[in-house]
Order: sequence, then C-alpha cells, then structure tokens
Amino acid sequence: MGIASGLVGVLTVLSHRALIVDAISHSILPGVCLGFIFSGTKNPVYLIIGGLLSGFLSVLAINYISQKSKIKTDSAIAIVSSVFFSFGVLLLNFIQNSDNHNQTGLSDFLFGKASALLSKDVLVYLYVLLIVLSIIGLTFRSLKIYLFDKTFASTIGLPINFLQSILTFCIILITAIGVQTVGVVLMSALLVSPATSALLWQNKLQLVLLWAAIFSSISTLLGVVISFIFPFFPTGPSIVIVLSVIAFLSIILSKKKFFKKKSNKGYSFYQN
Amino acid sequence: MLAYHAILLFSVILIAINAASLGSFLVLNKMSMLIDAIAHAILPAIVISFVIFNFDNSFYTILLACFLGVLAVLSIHYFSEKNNVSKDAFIGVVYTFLFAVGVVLLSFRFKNAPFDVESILFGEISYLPYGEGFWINEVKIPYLTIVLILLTVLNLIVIIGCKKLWLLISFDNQMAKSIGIKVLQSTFFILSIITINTVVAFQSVGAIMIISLTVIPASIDYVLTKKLNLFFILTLFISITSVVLGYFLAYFLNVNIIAMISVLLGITLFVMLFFQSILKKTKNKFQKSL
Repeated sequence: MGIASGLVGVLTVLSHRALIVDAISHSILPGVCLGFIFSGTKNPVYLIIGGLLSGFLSVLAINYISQKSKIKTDSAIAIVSSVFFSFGVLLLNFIQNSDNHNQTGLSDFLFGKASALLSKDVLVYLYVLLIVLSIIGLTFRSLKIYLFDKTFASTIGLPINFLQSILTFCIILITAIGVQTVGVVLMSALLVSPATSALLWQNKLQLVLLWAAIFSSISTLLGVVISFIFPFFPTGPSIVIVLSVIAFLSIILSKKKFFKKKSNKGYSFYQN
Repeated sequence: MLAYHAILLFSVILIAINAASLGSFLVLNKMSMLIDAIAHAILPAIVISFVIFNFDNSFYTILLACFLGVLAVLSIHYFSEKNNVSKDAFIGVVYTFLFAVGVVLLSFRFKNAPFDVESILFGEISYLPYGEGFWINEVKIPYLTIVLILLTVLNLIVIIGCKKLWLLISFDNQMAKSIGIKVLQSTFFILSIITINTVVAFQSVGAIMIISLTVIPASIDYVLTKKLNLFFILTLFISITSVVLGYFLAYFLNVNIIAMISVLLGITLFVMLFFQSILKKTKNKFQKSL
C-alpha cells in the first residue's frame, strides 16, 4: 500500500495537483455513506464503489468550477472538498438516526484501522499495487513527456485526456482504498509527503519513483513498528509523522550540495 | 427553549459572518487551501493547551493556536520559496504532519478529553449554549457568544481600517510593493486574524466545515461582482441567509447544523454557476442573431 501510494503520489505532485488528493479523500465520505445506505451492509465492495464514484464526481466538479468560472482551482478544491464532506456528515447523521444496527464501525472508514487489517485486505492492496505498477509501466514514456511538457505532448499526438484520466483514476483508486487504512485526512500525507521528499533528492522520473517508494515503505514499516511497541500510538498518524519527519529532513539536508549528485543534469520536472 | 435557539442561531450567524468576511482575502489571493492547512494545524495547539491549562477555549488556547497556525503558514511559505517543488505539496506535508501530531497527542494522553477526533472533524454546535456562561434574566449567555461578538467587532475594525491595504494587496501585488507597503508582513497580519477566528470557531464548527463557511460566500461574490464594498455586503447577505435557512432545515431533519449550512452554500454556488453559463449562452446567441 505504501509503495503504491508513493508511486502515484509522485505523479500527482508532478502534475501540480497535490491538493486534489485532499478533496478526493474528503469526498469519499458521502460515497461510502451512500454505498452503506443502498446496500444496508458494511460489505467493503459496495463502500469502495460508492467512494470511487463520489471521488470521481468531486474531480469532475472541481474541473467544472475551475474551467467554467473565474474561481481559481484552489478555491474550487476547497469548496468541493468541504461541501462533499458536509454532505457526507449529513448522510452519516441520517444513518445514525435510522435504526440500522450495522452502522457501528462505519466511522472506521474515516479514521483508519490499519492495525486491524485482514489478510483479505492485504490481497486487495496487492492487486491495487499491481494495477498501478502496470499502468505506470505501460505508459511510462508518454507519462514522462506529459508531466514534463503538456504542450509538447499534445503536439506529438499523445492522448492527453486519456493520460490525465488514467492518472485521476489511479489517484481516486488509491485514495478510496487507502482511506480505510489511514483515515481521511492522513491519506493525502501518504500520497504527497514521500513524493515531495523524493523530488527534493532526485531529478529523474525513474529515480524519483523509486525513492518515493522506498521512503513510503520505510515509513510505513517504522510507523507500524512504533504503534506496535507503544500501543497508545495509532498506526495511521505514526506513519504520517515518520513520513513528515523524512520530508522535513530532506528539505533541510537536500540543500547541502554534497548530498546531491549531478543536480544540474537530467530533466528538471519541477518547473512550469 | 426559545432562548436556546435564539442564542444558537445568533452565534452561528456570527461565526459565519466572521469566516466569510475574511474569506474574501483568501479567495482573492489564491490562498484558499491555507485555511484548510490552518484549520488542521491548530489541532495540536488545542490539545496541548488542554493538557497544560486544563481548560479549553481559554486565552492561552487561542494564543498557542494562533502561533501554530502562523508557524504553519510561515513554514509553507519558507519551504516553497527555497525549493522548486510546488507550494501545494508543502501545504499537504505540513498540515497533515501537524494534524497527525494532534491525533497522536489526543489518543494517548486522555480518553476523557471533552472532544475526540470525530467531533473535531464534524463539529457539534448544538452544545454551544450548554457551555459555561452567565445569567441575565434567567437566560444563560455562554461566554463563547461574547467572544464571538468581540471578534466580529475586531474584524470590522480590521476590515475598515485596512481596506485600502486589502484592496491593494488583493488586486495588485506589484503595485502594493512598489509604493512601499510591506506585503508579506500585512499578509501575515491578516492571516493571524484569520487564525484567531478559526480557533474560536473550531470547536463548534469543525475543521472541515469552517472551510466552506470561509471560502464559498467569497467565491460566489468573486463571480458576481468586482467592487470590494459590494463584495463584503454580498458576503454578509449570502452567509446570513444560508445560515438561517440551514439552521431551520437542520432542525427539522435532525442533522448537523453546520453541515446543512455548508451543503446549502455549495448548492447555491452550483446553481449560480449553472445559471451563469446559461445566461452567457443566451447572450451569445442574442449577439449572434444581431
């Protein structure tokens, strides 16, 4: 899970849409609630489908607002995430008012329950990781060009819209599934932090992806160990804290030149 | 019962006005996501001050939270200035870190804290009139309402006092710089006032819904008008109407008040955008037919 989210995170940060993750992870909530209301059970399949749908809707809404009106993208993200989240809270209230006895444990979806993972869940994560890996592997060249220079990519005839929707799909998939593990708020950390720290160290896309994967797997491991040793530490937040410490360290250390190899060569992906 | 509703409604309106009037600054300056960062980042401050002073909603809480909020904004600014990675990535890193710290602090120190993660994310305003307060004619006035009134006055003073400055920074950063206004400092001044507002509203409104209260009215105005004065008046109008409507709807449906309000605000925005695009289309057709 950590690795997959690290990989997708790099692509997200590079396409300048780091905060969209925030919006998606918040707007998963109404989807999960609707899935619960319609199915009446806590079967994760329905909940994940609901989450995927509402995540997709939120991205559509953000695009609609920021393209059709003067409102800037960041405001659009803030608006969509908070409105979707509030709608989810309303639905949660409705569920609490109704007499469905299955409702307990629904909030696990919000705040994460990484330590209570079942082997079934692990299998799901493996599948997701495989999907993401294969998508990245198949489209690596075109993705690279797309992230580096959109105009160039469109002039040489790459399917930009297709690539963008594939990226969005990856982000939504990862978020919808990861939200169960680490919770709504901390999901964006799982995507953004390793990518940010890897970008500070490396310039080449392959290496950045690799480093992000390494960072996130290390911190996932450490986080799990920490919460295992100290039972009062919840797993999700401790993973995030380790991740952020790595990010802060890389912000401080990466400025010192002797840590950086050939910093001027390779593509500089950060501009534009 | 009537007094309860009156006080609650009054407080919600005050919160909404406070949030919305300052929201215009954020929207105009493309800093909407900073309110998100601030709202999440002050969680550890509230927890820590609860541990140390054993009292929430106190002066120290606000001071500490203000400090943390400004620290978060400063560090985001600093990181993104010094590095090439985009600013929103750093917003993501900083606020999730602080929020995680807050959650950890919450979970291992005290199970008997007056709030949990859920109430922080969702907010529960209907307890507000039950808070500590004083009595006037057998009607209990909670202290929080008084604080809110004071804050509204403060905001009014700031907005009226700094209107010129506000205008300059929002619409022409370069111009403001060239005539010698300290843009960075004044931005941080306004941001710290926003932080104070957020902290006070935080417990009752919740970390997420404060965003919609802040950003949406200002965004609606941003589409509708170009004059700053009109901007403020419209903001007031929109937030008051949506609060009153949302309050009664939530009361009848028995749901979270703030969530109802923010969904209403969102619907307003979408309806407005929809009508605007229709209007544009018909206008274009009209012009073509001429």
